[in-house]
Amino acid sequence: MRARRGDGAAVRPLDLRRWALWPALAFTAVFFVMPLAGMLALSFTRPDPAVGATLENYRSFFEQAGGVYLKALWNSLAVTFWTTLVSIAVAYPVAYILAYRVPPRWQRLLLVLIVIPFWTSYLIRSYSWLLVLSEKGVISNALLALGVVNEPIGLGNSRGATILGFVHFFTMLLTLTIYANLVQIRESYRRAAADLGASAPRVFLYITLPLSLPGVAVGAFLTFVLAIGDYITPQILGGSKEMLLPQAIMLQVGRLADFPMASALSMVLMLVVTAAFLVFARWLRMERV
Amino acid sequence: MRPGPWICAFYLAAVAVFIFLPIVVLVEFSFQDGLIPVPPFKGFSLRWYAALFADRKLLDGLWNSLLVAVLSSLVATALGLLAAYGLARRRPRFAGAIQYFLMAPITVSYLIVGMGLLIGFNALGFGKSLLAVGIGHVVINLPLAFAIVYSQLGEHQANIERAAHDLGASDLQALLLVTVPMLWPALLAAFFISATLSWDEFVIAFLLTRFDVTLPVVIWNMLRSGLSPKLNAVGTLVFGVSIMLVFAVEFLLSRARRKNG
Amino acid sequence: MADPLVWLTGVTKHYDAVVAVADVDLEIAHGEFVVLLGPSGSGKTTLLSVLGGFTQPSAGRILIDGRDVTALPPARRPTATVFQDYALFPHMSVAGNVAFGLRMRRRPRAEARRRAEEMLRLVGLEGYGGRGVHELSGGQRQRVALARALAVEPKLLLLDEPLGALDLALRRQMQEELVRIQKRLGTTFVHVTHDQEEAMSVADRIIVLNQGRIEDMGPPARVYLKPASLFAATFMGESNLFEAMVRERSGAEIRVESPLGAITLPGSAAPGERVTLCIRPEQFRLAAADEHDALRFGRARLTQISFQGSYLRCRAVVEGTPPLELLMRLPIGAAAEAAIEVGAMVDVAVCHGDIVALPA
Repeated sequence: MRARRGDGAAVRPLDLRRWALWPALAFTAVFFVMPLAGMLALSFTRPDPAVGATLENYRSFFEQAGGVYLKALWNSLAVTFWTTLVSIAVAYPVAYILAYRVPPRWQRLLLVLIVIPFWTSYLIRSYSWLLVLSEKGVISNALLALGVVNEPIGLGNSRGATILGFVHFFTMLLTLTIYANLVQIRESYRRAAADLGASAPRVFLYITLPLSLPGVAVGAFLTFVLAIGDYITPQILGGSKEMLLPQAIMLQVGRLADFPMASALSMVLMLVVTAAFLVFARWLRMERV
Repeated sequence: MRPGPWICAFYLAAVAVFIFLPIVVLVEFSFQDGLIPVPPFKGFSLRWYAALFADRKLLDGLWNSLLVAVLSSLVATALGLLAAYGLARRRPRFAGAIQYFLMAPITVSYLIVGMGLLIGFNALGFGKSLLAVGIGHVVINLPLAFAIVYSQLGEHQANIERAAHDLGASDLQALLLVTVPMLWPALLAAFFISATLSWDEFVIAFLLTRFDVTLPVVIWNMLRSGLSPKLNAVGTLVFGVSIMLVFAVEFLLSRARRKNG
Repeated sequence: MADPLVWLTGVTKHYDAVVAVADVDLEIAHGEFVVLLGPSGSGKTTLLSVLGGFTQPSAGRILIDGRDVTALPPARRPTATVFQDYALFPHMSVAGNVAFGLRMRRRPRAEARRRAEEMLRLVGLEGYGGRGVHELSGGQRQRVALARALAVEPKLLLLDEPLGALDLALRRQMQEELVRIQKRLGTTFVHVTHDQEEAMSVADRIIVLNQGRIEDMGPPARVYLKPASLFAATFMGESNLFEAMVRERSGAEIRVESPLGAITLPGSAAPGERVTLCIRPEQFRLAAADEHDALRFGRARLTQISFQGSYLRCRAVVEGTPPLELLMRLPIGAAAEAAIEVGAMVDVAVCHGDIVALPA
């Protein structure tokens, strides 16, 4: 559609629509795709320019120092797995109670309240857990006072602490996603099931639960991707007990300045995340049909 | 056999305690009149907040964070708007693929985005800087800005633009004078969400800065030197600011929803 | 009514200050097709909800088949509901949906499946069992919802405006289907609608509700031709209303004074009472010169004519003080014989027996 000036001549307008897309596409290509491609390329080299293309980094991944990198990957997967599981187990009842047991007027308010800590700085939140779990912290003092332990106990610096820190964050995230999903399940489905003879537990089992699974799946996927790539929580709360994959990557960048190795490890991380994404996308497509 | 209201209340309370415990500890001990932010609570004091405002590095970091957040969010929102506009109006052949392409950075961890840029900039000889961080933040926020604006560009919007063209406006005029004003809640929401995420972002900032650092990196360095109520004070302030940003977003998103039905 | 299936006594429901259902007494016989008809806010949906057990009445009792079900939840009542939005479970197949109620009754899988097939055949969807719910059209979903409810062999089937979402042709078709299925199975149906034509199509008995009370109740023909109240008259269709005063009563007839003159018509109001005379538009006739026992209006001038397919909807004015405005529906055939056009003068008449005296 061309605009016409008052004198009838056709104006050649700036065809905004045609080139509007380009800046964003170019930006993404230059600052996201190309760096990734560069990383991929780099992962096949070594810092010493004399060495040409090589699979050395990837071999190191499997074999180095008794499989320390492999172990890091395994640790990451394990921690992420438990995080996802526990977070869903804690969050689902919260979302369910909010959606079905709390009067509608209070639902939104309670939801916002429960989620407020979500908006503290991620860094600060992990730090706060360190405070709580340290041997001088609140929990240690409480346990001492109750007589459960005889001396101050430090609960930080462990895989459990890392998982706890993760669960704290992801419980809130999952509460949001699962709740959002539960409230849009039509009430008439549950009423119809009841009408046809289903008792309350069976309504949950046959109707509510299956229909809430997509929300749970989305949340689980988000949890997996965000947790496995996180450096902060394991670094602050896991201490030096065990190394997770992001920490291995940072190690290569910081102390060892071995960028090719760091690239290779990053590619491994990206592979895992992409694999999870594909599995999820495939499941989503199946659900849709 | 329905779980009774008491069990539900108890469970909610238990979860609430779990969720709020670290926050309460954080805020409480920011007022600690003592050297370490752990029990016992020695007394109320604002000295750590005072120390914050005297801390040069912290204030610089705060300023840098604001700068990066605002600028990178502006860029991300502008690019996102253009992309959403171009995609919604022009409907190129590979619209689906383009959408995936634009959303791709979201599926990859921040760590990887930061690594990519670090290695890329390194190879090209560009040093670490706030600009690099800003670019990194645009990369991670552009998909969100795009998604938010795109969701608001429906048929309804298109019709109004057609009316503007019919009355003689060029594309640019229609965009600036008609579409953008109508989209402003979504645009502001995109801006605020990007700003919130940029403000708190650590990994990319850590990787891509050396001397001028953002607030999270300052906090990280402070962490390295041990527990201190000063950290609590920083955390409490950051918390307060984030909450305000969140409520702003919530307010704007609900306006956008109401406007476009 | 001897031995009704459903017995409602004193059923009342209020939400805070709003009274949705006000002290309703109702009996429904076995095998009846009852329609609850009324505008929104009349309480018809609330009443259905009370029958189904989804709403607890504020007062009153509900007995189904001799049993007091007032306190029973929907799962334990011998009722099944076809919901307005069908509420088909999206994550189950068509057969899964239809068999759901049977599964809840712990019937063996094979039997449930067989019965589901049977029900699908009954509603004309044989072979659709394996399809997903989203693959079906609106009309098909409606049938599945029906099959699902009937599969559990309820004593009472409740239908909540089930045909609202369908287009006209489909609606007419489904109305016939519903009647056919109901007659075949002999199940008692309670059907809620605001559409009086739908009500007349399917009902054995129409119950007209207004603001939580029963205004009128009876077979469609009776409710339409001889409504019991002003509300029922105007809700069931268009009508001409005239105020009148009763002068005499003898036997089953009354003599009234009205803008139509002094007329005698069937009625039971007492002398001195005010009544409203009601004449349906299709009861007017173009009078032949030799008719005697009809009420003649004399010459009327046609002011508006609109072609409605099967009739002409006309407005006419009878001169006089005050002038009488009439709304008429003239059959196409009769209209073609006389000269029907705007401004024409016609002779209009109506049978005394067709005039209804309603409480004012």
